[in-house]
Amino acid sequence: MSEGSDVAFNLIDLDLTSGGSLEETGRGRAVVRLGELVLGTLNIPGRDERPTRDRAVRRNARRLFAELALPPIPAPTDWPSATVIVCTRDRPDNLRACLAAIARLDYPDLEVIVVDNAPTDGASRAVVEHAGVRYVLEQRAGLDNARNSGLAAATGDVVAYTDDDALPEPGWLRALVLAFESPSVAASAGLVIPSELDTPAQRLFENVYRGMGKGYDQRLLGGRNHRHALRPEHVGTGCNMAFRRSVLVELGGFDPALDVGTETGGGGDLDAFVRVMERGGVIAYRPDAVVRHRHRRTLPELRKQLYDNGSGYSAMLAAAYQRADGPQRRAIVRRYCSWIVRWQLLRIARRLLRRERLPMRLLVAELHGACVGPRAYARARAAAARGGAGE
Amino acid sequence: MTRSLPRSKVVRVDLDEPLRPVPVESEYGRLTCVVIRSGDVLGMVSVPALEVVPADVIRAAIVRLLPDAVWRAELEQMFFAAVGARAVPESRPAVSVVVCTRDRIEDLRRCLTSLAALDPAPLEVIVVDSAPSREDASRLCDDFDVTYLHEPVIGQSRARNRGIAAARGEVVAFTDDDCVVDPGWLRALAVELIDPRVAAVTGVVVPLELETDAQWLFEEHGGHGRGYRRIVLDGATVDPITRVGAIGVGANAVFRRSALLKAGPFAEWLGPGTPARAADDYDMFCRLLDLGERIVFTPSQLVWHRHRQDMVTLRRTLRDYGLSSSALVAQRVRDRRDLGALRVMRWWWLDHIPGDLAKVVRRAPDRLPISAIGAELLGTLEGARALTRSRRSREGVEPIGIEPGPVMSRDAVRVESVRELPRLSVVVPTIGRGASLRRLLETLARQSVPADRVEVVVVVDGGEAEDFAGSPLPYRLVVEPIPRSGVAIARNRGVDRATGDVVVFLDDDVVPDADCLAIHALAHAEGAADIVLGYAPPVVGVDWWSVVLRAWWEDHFRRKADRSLPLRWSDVVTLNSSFARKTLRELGGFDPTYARRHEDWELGIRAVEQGLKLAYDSRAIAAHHLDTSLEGAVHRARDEGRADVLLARSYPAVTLELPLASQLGRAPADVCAQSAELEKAATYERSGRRRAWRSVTNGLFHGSYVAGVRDEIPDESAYREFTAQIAATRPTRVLLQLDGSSAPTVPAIGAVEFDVRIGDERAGVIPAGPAGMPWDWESVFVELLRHRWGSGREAAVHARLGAFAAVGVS
Repeated sequence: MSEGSDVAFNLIDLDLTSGGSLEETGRGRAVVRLGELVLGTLNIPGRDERPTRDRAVRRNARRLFAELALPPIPAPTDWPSATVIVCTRDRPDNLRACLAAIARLDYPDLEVIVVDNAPTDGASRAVVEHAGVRYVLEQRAGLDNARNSGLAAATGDVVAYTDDDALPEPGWLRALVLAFESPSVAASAGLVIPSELDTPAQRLFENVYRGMGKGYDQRLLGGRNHRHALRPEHVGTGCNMAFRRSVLVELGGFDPALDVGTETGGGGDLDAFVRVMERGGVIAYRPDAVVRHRHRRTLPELRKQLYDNGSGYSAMLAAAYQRADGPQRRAIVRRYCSWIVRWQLLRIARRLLRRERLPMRLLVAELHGACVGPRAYARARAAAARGGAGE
Repeated sequence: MTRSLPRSKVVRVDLDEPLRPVPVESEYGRLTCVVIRSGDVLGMVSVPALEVVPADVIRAAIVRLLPDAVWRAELEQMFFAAVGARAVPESRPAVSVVVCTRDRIEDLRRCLTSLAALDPAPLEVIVVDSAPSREDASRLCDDFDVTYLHEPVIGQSRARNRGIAAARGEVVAFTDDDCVVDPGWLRALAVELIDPRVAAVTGVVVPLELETDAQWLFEEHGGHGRGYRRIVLDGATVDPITRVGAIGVGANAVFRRSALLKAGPFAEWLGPGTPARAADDYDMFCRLLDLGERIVFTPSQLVWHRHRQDMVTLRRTLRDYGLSSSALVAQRVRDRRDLGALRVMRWWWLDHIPGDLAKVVRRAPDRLPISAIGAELLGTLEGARALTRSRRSREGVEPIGIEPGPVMSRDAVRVESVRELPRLSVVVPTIGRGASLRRLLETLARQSVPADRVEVVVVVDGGEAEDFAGSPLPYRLVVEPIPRSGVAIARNRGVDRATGDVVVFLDDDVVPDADCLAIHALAHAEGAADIVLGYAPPVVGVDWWSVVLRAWWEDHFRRKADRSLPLRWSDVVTLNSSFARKTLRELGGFDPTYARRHEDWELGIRAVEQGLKLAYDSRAIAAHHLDTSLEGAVHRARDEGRADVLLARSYPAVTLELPLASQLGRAPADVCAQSAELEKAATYERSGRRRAWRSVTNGLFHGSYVAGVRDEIPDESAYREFTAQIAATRPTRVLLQLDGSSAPTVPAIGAVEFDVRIGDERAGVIPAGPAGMPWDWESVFVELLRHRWGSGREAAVHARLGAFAAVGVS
C-alpha cells in the first residue's frame, strides 16, 4: 500500500461493544475499541466485504476474552478537581472543534482554560467567549510559556493539557485522572490516534512514522526504575498529558526555552516528563485516555514537524545535560549519539536500501533538526532569560 | 554480584473478589501477584511497584500477561457447568497433615499458623521433629493443636515415615516447615480423589517472598514452579522417571494411604539429611507410577514456599538437586535395570546445564552465577557415589514400616429394613477353574443376605461336574455341567435353572464383598433398576500388562460412577451384575452366536434399545482376580475382533464405538511370529524399555484383533465392503451449549461428536474422544482445548459482545 497516493482512505471507528453490522467501509484503517479502551488498529484493504468486526475479534481474541471475562474495576466515587488547559495560537476553527469535544467530556469537577498565545487577532478570544470557558492571554510566544500561564491560572488538583488541533474523547479525562489514584503517580499520558487520514502527509505520519501512539498497553514508567528517565518518548505527547498540579508547580512549570514558538521547536512536554522521572515520580500511560489528533495536512507542514521533532528531542537532551552532573552527563551524551545513529542514520541507510518508506526529505529534515537542536536550545535559553521568547 | 534484581513484594490476588489497590512498601521495586480464580492458580504477574498499585494496573497486567490462563479457567468453568460434571462429592476425605521440621522454629511457627487456618480443616496435624538439636519445636507445638513426634534418626524421609505411621487419616498430606499453605489447600482434593487410581495429588508451589537475588534466581531458575495447568501422569502409559520432574514436589504432595501402603514407605536413604540430599519425593512418585497409579498435579492446591535467601544456600540447593537427581537415576539403573532413566542425565548434561551456560553468555538477567552452575554440574557427577554412601549410612537402622491403619467405617448395609427382599440366584459360568470357583463359593457363604434367600447355579462349560460336597454350604447349590458351548449358552442355561426373582452374574474369578449380594438385592427391591452393575476392582500384580489392565478396568468403573454420563451399552459387563429374571426372559437371554466375547455388550445394546433402566452401584464390590497373562490377552483380542464384526453387522449404530474404525487398515497377525513378539515384549519389560514394550504389545493386539476380524470375513471383497461401510459411518452430532442454556443429551448408543456453541456462535465440532475409545467429560474437555482453541475463543468473545450489545453496555 502506497501511503503517498491520494486514494480515498477512511478512518473507521470500530467499537466492538456496539452491535450491528458495518457498512462496506472501503480502504482504510479501523480503530478497534472496546468501549473506551482502544485495542489496536486494523488495516482494511479496498473492496472490503465487511469482515472487519470478525477480523478485529479474531486478531484480538486472546486479550479480548480476558478483558471481557475479568470483572471491571468500579469507578471511584470522589474525583479530584481537574483543569483542562488548551493552548492555542491563531487557529480559531480548530479551537472551536476542540472546545466542542471538551464540552462533551464526562467529568464531574472540571475547569477549562484556554491560553491564547501571542495572538494576531481576536478570533480565538471570540471562540472562547462563545464557548463560555476561561480565557487567559499570554503575549510571550512559546507553547511552554502558554502552558505555564495556564498552570498559574489553574485551580484543579490535576492539570490536563491538550492542543487546539486535538479532540479528546468523552472518557479521556476520567482515564487520565484515574491514574492518580496511586499517590506516587505524578503524571499520566494517554493514547493519541488520528482524527482523519485524508491526505498523503497524514497517512505518512500515522502509518509510516508511527504517529503519536504509544501502544495499547497500560504502562508505568519512571519511579524506582531510573532507566526510563532518558526515554521520555515512550511516555506520551503534549496533546494528551496530565500532571498533579502540585508536582508541576514544584518543578517550576515547563521550560520556556523549549517547544513550539521558540527556536527549539519542541520537546517541552518530554522535558517535563524527564524532570518528573528524575525526581522519582511515576508516569502512567493509559491507552483508555484517548485523544484524536489532526495531523499536519501538507508535506511541507509535516517536514517542519519532523524537523521540530528532531530539534525538540535533542534540545530536551541538552536541557537534561545542563541539569546533570558527571556520570549522568556521559549517559546523556551516549543517549544522544545512539539516538542519532540508531534512529536517524540507520533509517536513512535503510531508505537508501529501499527498506524504509518515509521519504528521504523527511528523514533528512529530522536529522537536521537533531543536529541543530542543542545550539538552538542555548540560544532559546538566552532569549528566555531576556524575558521574552522571540522568533 | 554486580547486578541487582529488584526486590518484589508477593501478594495473593483473588479474582473472585473485587480487585483492590495494593500498597507496596518503599523497599520494593516490583509487585508480584499470584493470581487465583475459583481456587485455581492462573499464574503470576509482575508490575512495577508504586506506593499504592491501583487495581486497574493489576487488572491490565493480568489481561496482558495471562489471557490464555483466564480463557482456560473460564472455559473449564463454562464447560463443566454446562455438562453438569465434576460435582463435589458429599464426603470429604479425612486428611492427616504431616510436617517434618528440623531446627527452623520461626518457619515452623508460620507454617503451623497457616495450617490452623485451613478450610476445610484436616483431621489432624502431625509435626515430626527430625533429629533436633534444640527443644523449642516441642514447646512451640504446645501452642497449636498438633501432634508432636520426636524422631531421633536424621533424614526427612524417615521423619515422613514416622508421620505416616502415626497418621490416622485415609489421606496423608505433606508440606515442609518452610512453607505456608493456602487456606484452600485441601479444598479440591475430594474431587481429585474420586478417581480411585489417583494415588497422589500435587500442587503449585509459589514463592512466599522475593526479597533477595538468591530467591529471585531460584524462582527464575525453575524453583518449585511446574506451570499452572493440570497434569495427569498415568503410570499405565508414562515412563516414570523422565516425567516425574513435571509433577511437583514433596513440599506440596498428598498421598492416599492405601497407595503408600502398596508402594511401601519413603526410601530412608534418600532425602534431606542423608548423603543423597533430596529426591525422596521423586522416588515415591516413581514407585507409585511403576504400580500404575495416577498422580495429578493441580493448580488448585497451593503452597507458598520461602526460598533460601542467600547465594551460598542457593548454590548448595542447586548442587543437591543435581546430586539427588543423579542418585535417583543410579538407583533405578541399579535396582530396576531401568536404562531409560539415563535420559534424565542426558537432560542435565545436554539440555539444562548448557542452557544455564547460554544464559551466562547472553548475560541474561536471570542467569545463574557460574559457581552455581558448576555446583550443579558437580552434583550430577556425584550421585552414584552418594547413593552408595547413603545406603551404607542406613545399615543397622531399623526402617519404619507402614501399617494398614484404621479402616474408614462405611455405613453398614441394612437388609432388615426391606420387607420383601427378592430371592437371588447367583449364576456362575466356569471353565475348569476349580480353585477360584471354590474361593467364590466360600465367600458366597459369608454374605450379609440371609442364606435362605440365595441359590447358586454353577454352570460348568465343557467339564466334569466337580464335587463340592466336601465343604458344607449354607445356600442351595446347583451344579450344571454342559458340553463346551460358549459362555452365552452357559449363562442362558444358568438362567434356565435359576428360580430366584433376581439373577446375579458373578464370574468365577471374582471374590464378592460381604455386602455385594445385599446391594444387588436392595437395588432390585427398590425397583429402581432392571439391571444393576457392580464394581469389580481388579486385583493384579505389578507387571506392565497388569498395570495396563487395571488402568482400563478402573477407568471403566470410574466412568460408570460418573453420574453426568448416562450408562451405555458398553457399561453392561456381566462379571458382577444382576438382572431381574423377568427382564432377562423378556430380552430372550444372551445371543448364543457370541460364544466367547461380548455376549454382555450385545445384551446391553438390546437392553438400552428397549429403554431398560440401568444402574451402577459402586458399593456392590466383587474383587476381580484377572487373568493377567499377556499371551491370553492377545488370544482374546482375536475373539474380540470376531465378536466386534458380529456387533457391527447386527447393530451398525455402535460401529464407531468399537476399535474397528481405527484398526481395519492394519495387517492381520502372523500367528507364527506371535510367540517371538511376546518374547520380545518380555525382554523389553525386563530392561525397562516401556516405549518399545508398548509398541510391541500394541502391534500384537492390533494384529490379533484384525486376524479375528478376518476370521469372520475371510472373503477379500466382502472385507473391503465392510471397511468402506465403516468409513462411511458418521457419529451422532450432539449440541453442546457452553453457556448452559440447554444440557447436552447424549444417546446411550452410538459414537458422538459435539457441536460446541456459545450463544448462537459455533465454537467448533469436536469428537468425544479418540475413535473407538470410551470417553468422559474430561476427555471431551481435553479435545476442546486441543482442537478448537482459537475459534472457540472467538465464539466466546462474539457471544459476550452480543450480550454486551443486548444490555446496552458501552
